[in-house]
Amino acid sequence: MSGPERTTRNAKIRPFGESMMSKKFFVGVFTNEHDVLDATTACREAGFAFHDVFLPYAVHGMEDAMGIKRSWLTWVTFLAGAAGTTIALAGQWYVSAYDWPLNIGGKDPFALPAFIPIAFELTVLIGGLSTVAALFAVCKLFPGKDVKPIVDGVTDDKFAIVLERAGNFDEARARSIFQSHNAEQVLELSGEKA
Amino acid sequence: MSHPVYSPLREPLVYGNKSLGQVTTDVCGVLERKPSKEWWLGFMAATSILGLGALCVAYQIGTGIGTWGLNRTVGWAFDITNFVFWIGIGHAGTLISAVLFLLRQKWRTSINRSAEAMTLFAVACAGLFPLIHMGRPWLGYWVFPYPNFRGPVWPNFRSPLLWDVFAISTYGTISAVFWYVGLIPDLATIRDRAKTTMRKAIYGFLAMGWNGSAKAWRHYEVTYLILAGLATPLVFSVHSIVSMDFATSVIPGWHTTIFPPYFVAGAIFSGFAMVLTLLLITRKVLHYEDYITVDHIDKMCKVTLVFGSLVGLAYGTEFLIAWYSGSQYEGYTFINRATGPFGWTYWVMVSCNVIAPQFFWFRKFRRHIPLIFVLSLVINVGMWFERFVIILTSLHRDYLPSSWSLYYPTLIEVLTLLGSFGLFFTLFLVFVRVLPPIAFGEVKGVMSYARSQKHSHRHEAAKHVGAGAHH
Amino acid sequence: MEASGHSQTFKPTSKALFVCFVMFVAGMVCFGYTLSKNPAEAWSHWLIGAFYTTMMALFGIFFCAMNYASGAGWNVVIRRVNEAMASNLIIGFLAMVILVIGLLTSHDKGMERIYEWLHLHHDHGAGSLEHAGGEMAAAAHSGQSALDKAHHELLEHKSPWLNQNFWIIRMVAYFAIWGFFAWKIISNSRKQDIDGDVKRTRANVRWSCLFIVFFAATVCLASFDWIMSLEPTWFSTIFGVYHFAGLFAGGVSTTIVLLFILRRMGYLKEVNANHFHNLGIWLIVTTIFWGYIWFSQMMLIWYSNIPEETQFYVFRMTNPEWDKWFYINLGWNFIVPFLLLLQQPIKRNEKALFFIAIWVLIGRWIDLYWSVGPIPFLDHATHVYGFSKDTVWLSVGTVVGFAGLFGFVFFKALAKAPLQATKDPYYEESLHHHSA
Repeated sequence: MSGPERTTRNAKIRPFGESMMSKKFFVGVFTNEHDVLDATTACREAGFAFHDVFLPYAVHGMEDAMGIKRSWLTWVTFLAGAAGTTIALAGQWYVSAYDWPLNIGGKDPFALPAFIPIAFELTVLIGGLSTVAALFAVCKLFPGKDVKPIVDGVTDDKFAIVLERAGNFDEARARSIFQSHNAEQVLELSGEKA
Repeated sequence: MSHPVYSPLREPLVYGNKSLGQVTTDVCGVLERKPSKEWWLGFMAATSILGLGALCVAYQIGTGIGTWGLNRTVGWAFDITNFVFWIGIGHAGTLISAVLFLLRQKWRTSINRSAEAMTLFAVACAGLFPLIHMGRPWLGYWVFPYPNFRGPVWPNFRSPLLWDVFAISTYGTISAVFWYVGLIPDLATIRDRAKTTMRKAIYGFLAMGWNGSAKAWRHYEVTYLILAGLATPLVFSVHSIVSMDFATSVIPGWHTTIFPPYFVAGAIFSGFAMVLTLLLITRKVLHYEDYITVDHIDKMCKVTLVFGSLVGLAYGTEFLIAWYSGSQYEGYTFINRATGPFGWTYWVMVSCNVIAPQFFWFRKFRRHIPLIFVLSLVINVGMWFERFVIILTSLHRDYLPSSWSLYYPTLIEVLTLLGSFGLFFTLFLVFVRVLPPIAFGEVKGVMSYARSQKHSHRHEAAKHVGAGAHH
Repeated sequence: MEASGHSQTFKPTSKALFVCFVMFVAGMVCFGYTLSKNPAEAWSHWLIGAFYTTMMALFGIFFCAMNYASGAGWNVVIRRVNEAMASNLIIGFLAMVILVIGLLTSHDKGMERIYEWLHLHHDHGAGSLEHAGGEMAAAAHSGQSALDKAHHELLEHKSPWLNQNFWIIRMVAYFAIWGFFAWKIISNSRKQDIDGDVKRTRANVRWSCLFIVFFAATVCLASFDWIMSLEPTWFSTIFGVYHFAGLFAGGVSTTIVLLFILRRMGYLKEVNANHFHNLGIWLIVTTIFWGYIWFSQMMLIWYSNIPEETQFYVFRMTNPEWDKWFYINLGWNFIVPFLLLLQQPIKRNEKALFFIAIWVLIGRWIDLYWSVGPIPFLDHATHVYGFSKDTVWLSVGTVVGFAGLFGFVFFKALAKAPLQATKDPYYEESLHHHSA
């Protein structure tokens, strides 16, 4: 599956950030999407709680594997888009038919067909910008945010499953799942230590 | 969990059997090295032309647009042609990134990033022309409806020119956002492999704290899908609205109902030609032949052929209906278009746009890089002429023969057009230096495409094709 | 999972064929009844049925060709359904031939309103019309005569294109082209079932590319010839694209409906939510495309307000009996399916998609009826319209008859080859198709 021989870097442990200081994690590092997908499915089926899975690119089927729901951002788009249409039509009505009606080409002051293009554009504009704003808000992304990857290479060619070590965590089981799916490394990690 | 199955007929999208890490290195390496001599030469040429264009713009704004070759009959010609031309160029980027995404055409991944960049730069070039045409560009914000102390005086919402304002600004904004959202994961990769503090700081700032979390990916993917879903009708709307600048009028040759889809087809056609022009150079100079493969080129040629033929069909339909309508004005306009004093521009248009792409019926020509490069330039020329033909030939013979007139551009107008090319290439050259021209994150996602143990031997064969193409 | 190499063959149940037959008979009763009351109206209903059938059959081969040409693999498991749909081209052809015979042999009152130019006889002197009913002879008013004269001159101008012989030749040529390519592509696909030769796929890619070129041109011309020329003084360059959009949306819906029925009969278990999802995406895309083309045509004509173009809309938007159809058409064919199909779960739900597809297919009739329905009541020279609102259901009935015939021929054709093209090089990929 992977290409020609290449030296694998040793994964370095990195801090997660403030909120994770007190938690403990069990991490499996993989080198291809098939392994990480199958391992994630196996972990879910074994009942482990995911802290997260870190991927260098969007791996198709990961939502199902992790058992998380599809994003609800589509609703943001729909509502913001509908608001965009309304604003555009109301604005054009206000300007053309209410505030300063003019006879232009003998058309009605509220000439609906002529108002559709701008209504469409504002639907897309407001719908699109709101969706992206919501994405940034939900994922807490903002310019200049400082993060360190949990394991070196998860933004390059490594895939990491991060399980929460809470309650009666069956470490042996987790380790065997990781190893049976060709984990390159299995790490224990805690916020304090790092 | 079932893994995707691919037909044995599928060709790999990336040659050379690369590992994931190699993809990162291959694409980012270019950004981390010093620019090559070719790049500097190109950059200097582009900025010089841009400078020349800027001087012309300064001159015509200082003097007034009387420096153009317009007259009482032909009140719209060169400037608006350039505007429509550049807007059209911009369409391929969104088509590749959004429409092909929705159609799940996986080959888009190697070319979407630079095509999207091209879209933004083309829209920037396009926006310049109406601004110059205003004569007093510093009052350009008057086109937006905002409460003001002039009455208030509102813009006319029933005017297609105002629709343009909204369409172009929405298009520019959404394309930029789409492009940026697509860049975020790649920027994070560059941040994490940056060697210098400066690079880390700049790319870190732009990457917005992306860390590859699957929980973030789930929202990210849906956002990307939504943006693609929004950008697809948007790209149709933009050139449709541009076409309505003409089609809502009563001018023979301008007012015809097929204009919206016909302009969209033309825009996609010209945009693909420009993508071909740029990518054929980029892949050669930056050594991306394993990523932008001959298969990619082949597919782009096919798209070009389809849209070239659709444009040809629209030319034919217009001609047929001009006669069928029985309207003597329509009929005359089209006869004049083909045989009048500007008939040569019509035949340049037909030969470049309809006849030239017919070469792409043959696989041999779709893989012949020098020929494709030449044809892409020919199509660019043809599509510029298409807009010129539509605009000029419908105007220059007014209803009264006493108002008939000819039009020739002045040197200022020609140099302004040239200057816009300078701007376009300057921006593109800066882009390939500072941002990854290939969306390598997405490329990694399609690496497994057409790659299974069953036919791994195909890669070797494919490599040979890839290597053979540029010798 | 390996392909078994063996595939089920469809056997039409007598119940299915009987239902189709009943629909057909009911439709012919409606047509016959209308024919006895108002022949012009009956033939306009027939035209709707013939055009509808032809477009749906044409979609069958177009969709195969489009997917071959673009290298899509996902559709292989449903391709036999599209191939069988194309068999109805023969029904479309026969229906058009019967229409021609009907038009040329009937001399009933009002018949001259269907393809008015078809009744133009040059040997009677410039611009003379033969009116079987002699209705227009009553118009003795001088203004009326001037209008008549201008109108006839226009028809004379168009007569090199709009004349009986050339029109029939073109019609035969369209069907010949479509039939030829359908035969080529489908027979290659069937031969591949036996030899599994990849060359057949490659050959079909070539045939498909060529077909699409002809298809684009002929669909435009056919919609000009068969629908637009009903109002011969009216013209719109986008008209062909408008009917292409309708063909696409309707064709996707027909495919969904047929898949649903076949799966209820226990066939095509290979088809899953991912395939329906793709069809759902096509349905919303084509719905939006139809809305876009609808808007482009209507808005540009409304905006420029040129009389020779507005004639098409003025009646349809202002006649108190007809104005509502204008809004029903837009709402039914664009707004409702668009809002429903925006939702991802609906696109993946076979049953929901089936109901939307039925909705869209009714919408296709509305669109055609909106176009063709007023024609029998139209006075071409003066644009004075009358309208009988009581006969709408007879048009629905006639189309149901055509649907029954379509189904009958479809089931018969489907039984002639294995339900799955198991030796297609994309078959495995199609079985495992994933779309999220």
